[in-house]
Amino acid sequence: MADIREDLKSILLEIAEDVEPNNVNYDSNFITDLSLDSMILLEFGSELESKYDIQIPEEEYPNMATINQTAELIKKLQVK
Amino acid sequence: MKNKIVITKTGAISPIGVGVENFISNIQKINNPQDIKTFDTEKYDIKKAFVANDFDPKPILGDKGLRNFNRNTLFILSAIKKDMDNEINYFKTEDKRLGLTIGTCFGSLQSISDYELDIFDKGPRKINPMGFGNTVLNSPTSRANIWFGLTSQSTTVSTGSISSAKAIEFSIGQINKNVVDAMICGGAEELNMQTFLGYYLNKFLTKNEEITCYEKNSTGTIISEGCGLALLETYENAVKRGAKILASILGYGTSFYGSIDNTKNFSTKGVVNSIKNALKNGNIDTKDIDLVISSANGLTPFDSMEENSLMEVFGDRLTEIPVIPLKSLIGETIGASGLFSIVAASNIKDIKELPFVYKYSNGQKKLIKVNNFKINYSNFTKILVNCISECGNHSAIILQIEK
Repeated sequence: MADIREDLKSILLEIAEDVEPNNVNYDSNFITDLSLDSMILLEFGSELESKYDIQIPEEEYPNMATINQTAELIKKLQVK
Repeated sequence: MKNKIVITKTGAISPIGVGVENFISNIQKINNPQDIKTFDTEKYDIKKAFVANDFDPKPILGDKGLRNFNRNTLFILSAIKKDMDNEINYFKTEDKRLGLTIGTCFGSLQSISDYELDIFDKGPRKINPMGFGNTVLNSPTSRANIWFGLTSQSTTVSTGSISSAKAIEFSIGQINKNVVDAMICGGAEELNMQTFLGYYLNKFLTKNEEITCYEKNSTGTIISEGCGLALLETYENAVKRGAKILASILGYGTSFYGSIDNTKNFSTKGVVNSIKNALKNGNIDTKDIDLVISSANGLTPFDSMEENSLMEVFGDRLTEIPVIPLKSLIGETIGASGLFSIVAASNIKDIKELPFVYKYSNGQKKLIKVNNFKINYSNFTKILVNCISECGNHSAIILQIEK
């Protein structure tokens, strides 16, 4: 789990160039804490779909508000 | 023309120079094409172009926010930032309407192609949604509007090789109609595999390292890229804000004559009409023109069409008018070529010597290349910028160089 979360953080930081790495922890909320907009989250989701070979249903996007939540979601989708 | 429209600033990002000063400095020497490193040319027997292999926007624009921008967008952003930053700040501070118009022939072709290939290759779910914005022709202009916070008119003009010349004409119209107070007018083109192949497969490209113009045995052109810019505003506005006036636009003309026959000499009708329209528009006589920056690019039928057209318009007077085929010095920048000519013309006072010009020989009835032609370029006052397009669009702009 720790590995995937570090990977997620690194993908997120590559996409969200304005975010300070030190400000990101596994429970930082993408919108309220990191001020990410919907386009960045869409790109983040698309990158995750490619990297982990998953399909993130639209209704699951609200459930990936933090790195921890995203890691859980990926785990769940990979089991499916 | 309704108002006197002037050029108060120019800009350039070119394989031969980043920033307008470097561009003007480097057109005064022979520049050789480089091996293309921005895409793979291994399968082809032409591997060189005027290509900005070392172009790096980060020192100009900063490290962040560039990841999803295509090359054409980065050329435009860098040219504006490099040469127009103070002007943008002025117009914003004064709450004036500063528009942006960019002329480009192929615009975002690479991005469109890449995106389509990704859809087929990876499937629609796995493509980067941020890439979609690059798949429309006007995205480079729009991204520049957003980057610099330009909230006035935003336009992309695409009319083949005369795109940026038409962008000038369009910009003049918008200023005259009081839609904007001033316009950053540009021409931009990126060199990519698609454009290269288009020219290569049509056998338009030469294997030589130089472009030979106005010759029957010319072997073709050398493709190029970059962005040229000119800031247009009314004379009154420029004087009021104490801006240095480089040139004023005396007249412009366009025409279309699309009937071409590849087996014969092309008709001069379209080119002659555009030049005559420009002369008429500015109420200028042919005897007033003292320099031509021409559109010749080493493609014999089109060079011949331009040569014959200049002879038809100027007659014997052409012997007194040097002709500079700028593309032989910077390469064929397609939709950006008109703007690069405008940049060169507007800064003609800073040119000490060009490697060559062409002079019309009455005896041989043709334009002849003259190396190291000694002339004082700062004496030129009225310059005709001629732009022709392979698809039949033609445009002519006449500039008065300010002393």
